[in-house]
Amino acid sequence: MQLLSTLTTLGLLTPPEGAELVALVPGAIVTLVAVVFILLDVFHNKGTSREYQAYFAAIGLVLTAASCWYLWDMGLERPVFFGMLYLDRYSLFFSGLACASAALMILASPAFLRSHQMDRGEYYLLILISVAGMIFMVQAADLLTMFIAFEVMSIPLYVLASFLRKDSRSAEAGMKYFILGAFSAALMLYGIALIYGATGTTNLEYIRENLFFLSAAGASHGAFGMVMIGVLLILSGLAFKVAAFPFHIWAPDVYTGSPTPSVGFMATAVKVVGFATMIRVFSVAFPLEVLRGGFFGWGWIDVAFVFAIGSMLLGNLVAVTQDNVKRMLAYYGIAHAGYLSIGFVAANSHPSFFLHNDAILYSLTAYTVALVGAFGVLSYFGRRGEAVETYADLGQLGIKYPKMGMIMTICVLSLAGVPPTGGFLAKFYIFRTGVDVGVQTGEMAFIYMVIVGVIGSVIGAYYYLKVIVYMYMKPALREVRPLATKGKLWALGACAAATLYLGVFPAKPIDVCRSAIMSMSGVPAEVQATIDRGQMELDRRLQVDED
Amino acid sequence: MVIADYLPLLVLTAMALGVVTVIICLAQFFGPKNPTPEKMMPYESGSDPIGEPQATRFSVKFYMVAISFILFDLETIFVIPWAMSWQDSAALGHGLYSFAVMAIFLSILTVGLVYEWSQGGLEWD
Repeated sequence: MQLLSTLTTLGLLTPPEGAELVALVPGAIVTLVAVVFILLDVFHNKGTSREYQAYFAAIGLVLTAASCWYLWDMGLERPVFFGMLYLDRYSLFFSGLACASAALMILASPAFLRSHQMDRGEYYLLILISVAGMIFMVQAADLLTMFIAFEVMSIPLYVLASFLRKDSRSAEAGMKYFILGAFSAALMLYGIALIYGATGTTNLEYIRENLFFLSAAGASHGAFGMVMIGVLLILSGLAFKVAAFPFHIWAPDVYTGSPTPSVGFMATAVKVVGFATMIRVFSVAFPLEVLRGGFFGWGWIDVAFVFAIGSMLLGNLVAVTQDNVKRMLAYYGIAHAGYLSIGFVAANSHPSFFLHNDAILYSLTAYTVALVGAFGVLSYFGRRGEAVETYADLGQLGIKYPKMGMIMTICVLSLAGVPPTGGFLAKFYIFRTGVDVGVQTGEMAFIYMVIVGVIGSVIGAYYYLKVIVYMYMKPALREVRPLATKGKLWALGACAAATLYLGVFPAKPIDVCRSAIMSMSGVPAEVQATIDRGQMELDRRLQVDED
Repeated sequence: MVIADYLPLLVLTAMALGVVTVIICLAQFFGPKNPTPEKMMPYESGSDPIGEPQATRFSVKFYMVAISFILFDLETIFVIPWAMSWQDSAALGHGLYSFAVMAIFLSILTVGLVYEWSQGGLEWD
């Protein structure tokens, strides 16, 4: 014991190698921007506009995304800092996506905040800190790193939800999000403790090895009960964040009450990071057959199956009855968690389907740009501190503000899954994954899941087209003013352009998604074999193209 | 581990008790005594210790103090182990690195303090 603790102390006192520090670069840039931002806010000239702060934060986030791009080919084989953080294309992809979502929503914020008399620098600061948490969460190679990053991401979001503190709905949103979020985080931590109790480690790869060792040593099915409970608690904590079916209750109230631009950030970046972590944690740490289950052996695949079916049915059906657009988008977010769960269930049901995870990455990208655009357009309108929220408020806005109408139409069509937008291809890839795996395994449950998904998309078309109908064909009920800034116009234009780009020229983005999923470090040997096979096939195809 | 190893702890306890007793006795024998009703009240961080709990509300100002306390309390928790192990670190030749890491940590905390100051968190009124 004495020796071990001496060795640990020695290890802790030794600085990491220079090469390891590279893994910190994206997170460090955001943190540095946040710290400088505090000073910027301290020396702000009171009473003047804070629009420049939004630009500063957005530029910082763009720099971070650029650093992810720069590091794309510099991934590291092993996790750094004694098995704490990965640096691979997978984490860089999601870091970049989270930064993009945050930067676009920050650019859409200043005029909205000013009209609600809450033009405070803290708003941008909270988003920056949350992004720092997100970046470390997708890099996490250890359950504890993941949990700390999870909290760094979540706590600023609770504050953001209640940012319009004079508005009672916003205060309610913050309170609900905080209490439920704290509960889910506590459950997740308890799950981590159970896993630690069974395996004696929190490192994802060591957990996998120890679990294999336990099962090889003849631990009975029942002995895995504690591990299984731990796995389910971790899954439920992540499902809460992505608002999947039994853990979705908070989403509609929180989305309705929170300031509109920050909802765009919460609904996209958090979902992106939640799914990224889910794929990483479950495919790296718990690939054991007993835990994985698969159609009612009641492992985590079965639980995700329930999430998928439940979220799609509930999300789509309840979204139809909403008259508040923000609430409708919240229910759509629940439904979308269901669509993504189809991909998650299908691609992770067996190691040989691992590469199908690229559908989730593509779908998250398309969903992010379209939803950010939709929330951005909603926050573009307002009057005397009142936000435009209901369908009726949208009357005639598409005709009065043709640019906004255009952007909203593109984004909404993408969310509904109409070609030629990114959302169409995203749904297509997700459903194709389900059908493909279903056909290859002969398991009908995959096909049923896709059928529910397709029916859900048809229902979705109804409530999305309703937005367009109101924007162009219904009379205006009350006067609204545009809350325009130059940055906002650019950001919203970029969302619409990206949505179209993803739909019309999908080849390049899909390549990026595939190379992200193929570079995931720490995966078990069977998955690595699948990846290597995929890589060989890809090389062969490139060879053929060149000839 | 033998029982004699705990001797310093015993000495510390004895000294703590001794110092407290001496201070109380000195105050009792030599201190000026002009009691007022406020001075005779038990000390409860400024709020009235006797009465209906609903009737007396806490001043919200205490919350700023509590937050600052947590900030510096956590700072202590991180700095003291660092200070204890710095010599080992220096012996291994990583003294400067260790110092730089702590300097980064402290400078981030200082930025927090600057922010609190600018927001008026250090003023009572």
